[in-house]
Amino acid sequence: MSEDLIARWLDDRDSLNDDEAAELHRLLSADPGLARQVKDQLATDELLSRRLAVDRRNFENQVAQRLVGEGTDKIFLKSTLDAVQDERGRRFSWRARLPEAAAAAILIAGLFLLLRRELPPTVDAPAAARPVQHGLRAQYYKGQDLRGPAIDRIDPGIDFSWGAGQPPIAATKDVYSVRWTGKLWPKYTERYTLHLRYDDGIRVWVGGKIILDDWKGRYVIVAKTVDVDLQAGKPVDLKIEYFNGGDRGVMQLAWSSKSQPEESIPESALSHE
Amino acid sequence: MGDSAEFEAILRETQSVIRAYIAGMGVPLDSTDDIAQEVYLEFYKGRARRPGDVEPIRWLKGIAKNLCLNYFRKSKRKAEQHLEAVAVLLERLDCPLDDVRESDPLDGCLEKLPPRSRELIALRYEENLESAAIGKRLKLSPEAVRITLLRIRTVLRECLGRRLAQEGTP
Repeated sequence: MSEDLIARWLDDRDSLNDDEAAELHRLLSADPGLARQVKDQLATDELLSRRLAVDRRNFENQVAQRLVGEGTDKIFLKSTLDAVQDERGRRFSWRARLPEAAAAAILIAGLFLLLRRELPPTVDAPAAARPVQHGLRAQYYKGQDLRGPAIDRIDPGIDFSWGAGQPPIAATKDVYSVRWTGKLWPKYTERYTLHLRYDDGIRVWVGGKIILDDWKGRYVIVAKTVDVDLQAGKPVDLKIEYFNGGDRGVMQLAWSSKSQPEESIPESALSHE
Repeated sequence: MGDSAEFEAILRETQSVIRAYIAGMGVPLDSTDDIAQEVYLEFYKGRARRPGDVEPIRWLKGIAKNLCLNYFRKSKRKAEQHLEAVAVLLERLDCPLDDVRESDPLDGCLEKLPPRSRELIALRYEENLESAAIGKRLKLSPEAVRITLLRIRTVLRECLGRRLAQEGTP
């Protein structure tokens, strides 16, 4: 019984009802050994998640973005981003681990590349291939579940901060949701980092694959980054769903790569049907 | 060393400890990094208030503890009152893994798991699937998935403990 209760709580920490949470507290208070085992479970759970979950990487970068977002200096951001890129060069999958010597050789080669800062292949797409309809299609909904009649418009980019009482559309108590759809036009063939700052929740798809699912209410602005491999001049589908459950709303999308300094994704790199 | 450079060094040195500390109080993993970001923001904004003789990590843990307790208090669910008490209880316990600052402490442990366990770990932590979805794929009940994950984590914890003991980490 206690193992099942603890396993359920460890699996989903919002899953216990009032009585079950009280029982958990009683069990852990009565048995220090059990409490220690639970603490070990939480620590191992966190280590696994930090090692394997994509959206928990680049934490330092995310803190840097929060600081910049709140008006602190950009020098900090730059040096942290450089450090994060170095870190990224050192990562490789635990499921296909290479012998240490080979890994070291790759690491050194990777660092050399970083130091030389060679520009990856880039294209200026021919005029005929360029999207003629820049910006993203945006559908704004009253309510937070993307339902009901929508206000359709084209947004040149996603860089919004709506104050409390100043929603983008008439909405009750600042509750609204938005879906942006279109294509992303990268200039370089390389790994890009998408930088997302938001309050409350979002879901993001690139190339039809969900890369971030963080659909929940919160009381702080969150900054997350996700890496995606893109090809120069080859547009990729982009879809973002966002909701604000009340008060201030924030939704900002930027990108960066080895060759692309961080910037809010410009209108020219976005298109819609 | 300027403020920014010093802060950056502290962030790099302590972030894994602080994130583990927050998770160790029972905060859901999907809120752990939100709170940890907030910890560093408060630390940076209030850096002038930290007494010179107080180690950054101790100051950071103080901020983290307050924010975690606020997290439980702000929830409207009644269960959170008990979970706040659980958080207080867990916070008082030392956990050697909390202070592991290596970038990859799981090195050498994950690889030793049998393939089935590795698959389960990948589904849970890489693909972020809930137990019901994992169970569907592996033809297991959600309860069986939860208990199996708990036991795999116990095996990993023991492996980590042995490895850290060999390296002289407590």
